[in-house]
Amino acid sequence: MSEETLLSDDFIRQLVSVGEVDVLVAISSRNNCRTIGNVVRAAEESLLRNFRRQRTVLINIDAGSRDGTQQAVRDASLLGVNGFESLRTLRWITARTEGAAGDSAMVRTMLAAADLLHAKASAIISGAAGTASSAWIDSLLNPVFRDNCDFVAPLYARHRFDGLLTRNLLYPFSRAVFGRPMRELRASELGFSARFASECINRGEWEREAVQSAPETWMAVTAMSDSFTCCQTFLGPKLRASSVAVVDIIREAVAGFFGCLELTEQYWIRGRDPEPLKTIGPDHQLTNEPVRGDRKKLFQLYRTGIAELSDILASILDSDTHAELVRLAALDEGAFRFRNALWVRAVYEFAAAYHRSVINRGHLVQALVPIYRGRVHSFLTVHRSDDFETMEADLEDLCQEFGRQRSFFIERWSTKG
Amino acid sequence: MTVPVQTEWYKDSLIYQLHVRTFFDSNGDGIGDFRGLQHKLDYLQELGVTSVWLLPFYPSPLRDDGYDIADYCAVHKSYGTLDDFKAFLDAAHERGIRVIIEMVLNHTSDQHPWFQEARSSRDNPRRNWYVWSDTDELYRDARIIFVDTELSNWAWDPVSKAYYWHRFFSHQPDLNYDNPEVREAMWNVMKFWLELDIDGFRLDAVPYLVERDGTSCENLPETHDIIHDFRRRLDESFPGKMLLAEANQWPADVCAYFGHGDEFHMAFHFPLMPRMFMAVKLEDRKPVIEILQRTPAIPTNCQWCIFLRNHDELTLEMVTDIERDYMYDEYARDKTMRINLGIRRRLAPLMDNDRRRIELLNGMLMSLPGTPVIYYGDEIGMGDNVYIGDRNGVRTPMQWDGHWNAGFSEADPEQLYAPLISNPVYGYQAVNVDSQKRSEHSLLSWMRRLIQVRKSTQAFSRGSIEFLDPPNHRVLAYVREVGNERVLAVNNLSSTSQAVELNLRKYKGSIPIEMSGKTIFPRIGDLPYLLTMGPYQFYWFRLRRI
Amino acid sequence: MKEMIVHAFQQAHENLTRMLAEFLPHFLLMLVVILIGWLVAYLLKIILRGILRVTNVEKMSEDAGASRLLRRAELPTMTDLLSRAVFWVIWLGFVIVGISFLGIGSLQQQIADLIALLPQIFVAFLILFVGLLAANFFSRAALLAGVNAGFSSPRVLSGTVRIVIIFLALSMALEQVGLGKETMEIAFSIVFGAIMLGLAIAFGLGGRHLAARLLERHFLHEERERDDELSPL
Repeated sequence: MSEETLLSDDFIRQLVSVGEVDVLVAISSRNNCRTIGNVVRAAEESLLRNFRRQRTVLINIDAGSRDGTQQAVRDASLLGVNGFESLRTLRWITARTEGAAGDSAMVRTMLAAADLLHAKASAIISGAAGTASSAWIDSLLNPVFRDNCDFVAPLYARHRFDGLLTRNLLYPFSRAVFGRPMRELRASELGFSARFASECINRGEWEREAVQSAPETWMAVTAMSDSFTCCQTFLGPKLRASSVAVVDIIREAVAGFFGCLELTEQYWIRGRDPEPLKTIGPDHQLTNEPVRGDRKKLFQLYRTGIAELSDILASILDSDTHAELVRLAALDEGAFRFRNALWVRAVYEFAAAYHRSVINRGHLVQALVPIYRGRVHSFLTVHRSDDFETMEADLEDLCQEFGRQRSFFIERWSTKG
Repeated sequence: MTVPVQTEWYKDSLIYQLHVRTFFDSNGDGIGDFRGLQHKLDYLQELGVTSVWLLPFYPSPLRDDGYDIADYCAVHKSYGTLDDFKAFLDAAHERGIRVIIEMVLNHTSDQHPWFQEARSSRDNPRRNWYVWSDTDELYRDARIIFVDTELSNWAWDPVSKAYYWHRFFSHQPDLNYDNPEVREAMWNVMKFWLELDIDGFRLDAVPYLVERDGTSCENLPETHDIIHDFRRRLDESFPGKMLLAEANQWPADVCAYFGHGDEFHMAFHFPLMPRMFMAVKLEDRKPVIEILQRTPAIPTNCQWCIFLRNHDELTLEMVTDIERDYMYDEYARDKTMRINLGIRRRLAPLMDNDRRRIELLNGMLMSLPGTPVIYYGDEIGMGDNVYIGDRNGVRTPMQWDGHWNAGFSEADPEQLYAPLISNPVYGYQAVNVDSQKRSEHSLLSWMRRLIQVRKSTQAFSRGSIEFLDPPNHRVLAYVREVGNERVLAVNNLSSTSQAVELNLRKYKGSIPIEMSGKTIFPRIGDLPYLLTMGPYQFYWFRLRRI
Repeated sequence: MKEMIVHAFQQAHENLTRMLAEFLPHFLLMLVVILIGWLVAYLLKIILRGILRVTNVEKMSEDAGASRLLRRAELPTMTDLLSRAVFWVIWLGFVIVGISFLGIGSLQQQIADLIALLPQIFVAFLILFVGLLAANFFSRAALLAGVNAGFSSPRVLSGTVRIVIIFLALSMALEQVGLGKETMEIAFSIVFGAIMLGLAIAFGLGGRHLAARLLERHFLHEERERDDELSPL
């Protein structure tokens, strides 16, 4: 049913008019009227500067903005790019998606467009990327267009205490399971090939919960778990989200990731050897800013979480793990350290419990939040004054730990009951 | 015999451009001549063309394909005599074919007696007929046109120990139009041919007649004055005759040569030509629409002359650097195909011998506003030879049949003025008039039908143009309209099938009738008119209200 | 005397024999009816199961989330549950009809009452069952939300949610059976009112600042950064 109604008649008509293209840039937007002008200009400049001879198209998929974002897109695109003439007509396609399944519908529409237009290289960029430049778009498109890459994940320079879930869970976990060190598993900027778009759009997994809640993660995981050539490319500084709803983000990102593990189970369950991942530009960059975050409060949240949720945690975790968490909660804040081994074990047990649906999956993932906060507390304490190299070395240790405990995870995952 | 005086005949004309030398050799000396050309007039009549434009046939050292004229009032002995010319002219007129000849106003050959006299001494009465200087510092702002061969616009004359001015090759000294005697002499030359009853002149290198320091020496007001003067005399003494300007300039500059309808009757639209090629390669209508929208309106008695290919290179002077690079990369990746700022290739090889693309471009040529010019040989899809010098590769003998010398001449093949095209794809055994005449589906037969259709309505030759703006940018669509005749042309510039929705609400109620097959299409209604088009396909519809 | 006793015994014996003779056919009839009932019910159960399999009810119940609910409550699958329910309802019907053949007047009346009440009891149990599940689910959700939002006593919140839902389910169930209708209504109103008042006071006093902030943000479009949290992604 949704298969038939995903693309509106008007959208199809626009696709017909544009026809086959070589390069596609899709801009997703949701109330981004302040930043989207910059993104539009960056995209146009990239196309005019580096893909002047190619058949190109710009797509804006808007998830029901009410702040005039679409007008901002039109305004910005009318300005043109100074100093760059175009050989061809610069084409725009605009569409709106509505409803709760906004993200996955947006991504799906973009992939469908890329597939239908046979775009040799496509890039997705978020309308919220206020720091985006034309170099970003080039970096996402070039590996696909010129080097036959199938999937390009981004790398950002960012505040060293941002992206802690990525750093502590998504990245090392996925690296241990899929064998490839892809840093950003839930990126709002991506590049991909026609082959990849076609594969994604034709997989019958769009109605699955994991794909609905974390389409980008699903794309990354699909790329890693199939015979696609992947790489990651450095973009630049990422703008920090202005308001952070930690619980919601963790709920979506972690549940999405665990769900994706289920979808690709047959690929990793027998174990994958680590493979290098081509990386263009610096591997990672951290900006040095003073530590933010109220550690006292984080610890308090951890402590109450462990105490209040003990019944739930008992049903998710092994008794040893649970007991260890309880023991840590009883410590003084000063003495509290959440070690790698325990963290990895707890995360693995959560993933396995999610797979077995021991309790409602939404609840299960929420029960991870206090534990995550405990981990963040430790992370902030340990790395308070560490430099970039030390932090990277510690991250490598964590990845090793995830790798060491992988067989335990696979065993837990495989036991039904 | 004279074709009856009919004003503005040039608007409905279809011009066939040829060089006498290349067409048909009647006396077996390996060089085409006027008797030969006369012999082949039936062919041109069958094709449906209504005018012939002859490249220079004057006595000349032939160092610039005849554009270096040594005597303005005679015929080069290789091509026959003045009587042969007169006989040809009469024969052409008998068949309703008008004759336009080349007139090089700007310069002569250095072998012309005028120049020989002028250089003989500094005080010769003809000295002032050319532009002399003791220094080569004058007029430095004028660009060099033949960048591949010339370093300066001044050349040193060792005889009279001075520099003389030449905008083209150094063996082509520019005449001094500031001298009234020169103007009078040139008018006398024109009068000589008009009295023989030729129908018009194609005036070569018009923008460069006058030089002024501190300017680009192009399109100067003084130049316009001279043209204006010639036109006045022409209208007074020879009404119904036509002047066609060669001015490779931007449309706004060329427009000035129409004056207020009192300078040239016609002028070539140079910038449009490369853009047609570009549009097909880019699969985007943008270049064509942009240039035509930038083209100013012209006086009602004037007309553009449009072409795909001619005896020169596919000139890329009137495009931007980016566009030129693109054109080179797409159409002349091999550097031997390039010359000056252009590409020395014929239509068929440029189109990779793809019949559909050749047809599409001819379809555009015949339906866009202007009088179309067909370059000899392109109607059968002749090839070129980029390995012979200058632009001679597109000036090889006409391929009449698959026999000796392609039926062009009975001379020894080695004696021909230029080698025949003989490769298996474009060679005369594969591509020739005779075999194409026998096939209903040949390019030649198709061209003949296309010309017939074009001549069936004045909408193409005299109509206004209104571009439609369908969302599919691979489709170029426009409506040509004159009186109550309306024609809709739709061109698919893409190598793939396309669907296009045309907003034809303005013509609601009309019935489109496809012009080549006279097929009726569904009546136009309120909804966008949906057409599906094959690769490089084009449609011409007569919109009829019944 | 002796004769009287013998007579009485004879009388009793005769009576008993007569009653037995009268009762036995009824009893046999009852057994036959029950047996036929079992057979019919069993057959229908098999047929129903087949139909349910063909119509893919299992998938529908999975999609609707009912299956997960059943699993959680350690109940058999939807197909099983439905077909078993049909079996028991039909067979029970036959048993009751069979018993009625025994011709015991008072028993017949009570059975009739019971039959009349059966569907209501069934629905009441269903309500209770769903209610318990819902109570469990929502109290846990409240607990997690409370813990993660840093409420000081999340258990009170989740406990309250659980009690309210159970209470609601219970009252609906009892009302369904038709017991203590008014009492339940009054009791419910009192408890519900008290909880709402409690919450109102709690929020009013404790959440003044929060409310003020929310209003400010909404009306002044002020985007405040929450300094205590770092972006996880």
